Amino acid sequence: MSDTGASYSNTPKEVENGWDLFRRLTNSLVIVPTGSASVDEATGGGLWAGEVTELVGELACGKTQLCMSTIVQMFLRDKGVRRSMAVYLDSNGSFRSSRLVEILRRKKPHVSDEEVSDLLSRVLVKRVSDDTELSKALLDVQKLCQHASILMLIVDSVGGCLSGTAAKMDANGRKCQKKIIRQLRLLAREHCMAVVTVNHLVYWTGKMRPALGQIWMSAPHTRLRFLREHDGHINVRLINSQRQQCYARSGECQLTESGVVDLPDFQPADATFNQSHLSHSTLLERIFAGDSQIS
Amino acid sequence: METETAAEMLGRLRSIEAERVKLTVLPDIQPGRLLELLGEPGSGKSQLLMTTVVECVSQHANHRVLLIDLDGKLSVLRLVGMVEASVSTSSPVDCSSDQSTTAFDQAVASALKRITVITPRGAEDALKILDRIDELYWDRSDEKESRLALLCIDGIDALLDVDDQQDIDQLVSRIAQCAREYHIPAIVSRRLFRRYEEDTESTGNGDEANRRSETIAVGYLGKTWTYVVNCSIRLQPLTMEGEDDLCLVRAIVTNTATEEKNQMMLSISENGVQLYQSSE
Repeated sequence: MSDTGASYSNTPKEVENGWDLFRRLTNSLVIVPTGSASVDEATGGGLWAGEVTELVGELACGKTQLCMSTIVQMFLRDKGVRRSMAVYLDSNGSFRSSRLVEILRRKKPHVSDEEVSDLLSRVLVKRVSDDTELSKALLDVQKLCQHASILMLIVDSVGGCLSGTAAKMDANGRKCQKKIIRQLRLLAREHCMAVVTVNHLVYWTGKMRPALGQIWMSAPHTRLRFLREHDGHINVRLINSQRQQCYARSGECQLTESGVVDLPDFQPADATFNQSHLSHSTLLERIFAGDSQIS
Repeated sequence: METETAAEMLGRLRSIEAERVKLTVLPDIQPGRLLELLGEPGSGKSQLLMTTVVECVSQHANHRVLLIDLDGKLSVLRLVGMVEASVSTSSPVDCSSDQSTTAFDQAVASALKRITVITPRGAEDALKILDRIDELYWDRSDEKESRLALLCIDGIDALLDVDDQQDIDQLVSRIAQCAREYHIPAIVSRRLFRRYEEDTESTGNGDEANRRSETIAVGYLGKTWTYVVNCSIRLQPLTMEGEDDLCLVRAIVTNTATEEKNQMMLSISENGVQLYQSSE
């Protein structure tokens, strides 16, 4: 039983009342910005720790680039403050350390070599090719959490790793998918990570849907659909969200050498946490505005 | 479990009966019974469940709710937002005055404190936690005596295929036992999947194949489940999710004992669930 008034630690308890949960969330809220303020507005600030976010789209529409861009943003923000690390589970060979370095150098032109090697030392990469390897890698990440503070976990692409489970969708496939979902949710929730899964689209029952079938449809907390438009811009639309209503929430960005950036004519909104993101909670807005009366 | 005489039990139930959970949307929920919310992903089951929880807590100041989140999809922000909306509609707040904002905060905090959220890792974990439910029933640290009035479980289908059938059966019967013992209603949400037959897309046997594919629910929870459910509500969305900010849902209420069915239309939105138009 949790006693109200106790210190709000980051580790979730098994049994908690709503108020303690809320206060713990406000104390430990970590949102990693993606690099494009427009996309951040659509998702409520960026990629949320404690949630599984899925990036879904056709081939070469910027999903991996967004992940790389977010890793660099995380590094730039947390550089002197804490050693937050990222784990990249790669199934299709899309990870390039040189690309990370390029993005860093473009975002911060006079970066020193030490900072570059600091960034690279914070990213752990592992190749996974199927569901057993993915499951084992996730267990390893769980063990690693005790020694290092891992903030981001990227699985690129989960559609590739788990494609074997979705082919027939028999009991074995379902069990496999549900186990992976449980592991991902555990890592997100109990270890406060921003878990990102990259998925592709398949043509199924009349329209393009995220791969991996019906069970996976409700696996992530948030899902972002990437669409490459005619002029090369990328439209990122929120299509599923547990936290907010996704009607007409989208952002526009473009891919450049410095990762994912806003379009030149983008007008950012006034505050970092404005009403459209946290449309639900006035208490939350007041807490972030510094209202100290709330106990 | 303590033993009590029949007279004591009648007295206890009578005092509880006076404050039955009454909700505007769901049909008269009988205490001690289990209500199942069936629906496809995106049909509004979790929203309906959360609306029920929030209504229960905000309408009665001494009611507690136990919310068991089995599929890990509970969003605390959403819950808090709904509690705030409910508190502000029942007692409108004037944001300029300090006094009323503190009153608002206190009302929201008190409502949230009476929602106990459990996020077990699996069926075994949930069973261990339910063993301790007696602690949650009476809370002596609060000034007012608050009692457990509602038991809600979100996403029982998440246990299928990963947990042992034995554990699932045990959990299901424990839930039913809790509902009877504490004389509270239990509401369980369960996801339904459509299995697509190969010829669903063809125009020839369109209707028949669609009907066939709709009735197949992937995910048989076991015989214990079929015996334990008293009432089942099937939610069918009528508008495409995400294409409109208002979602219309048809709810078909089936009483498993008598097999009678009722139909209602609900509108499910961010702010909650309302009865749209009821047809008999």
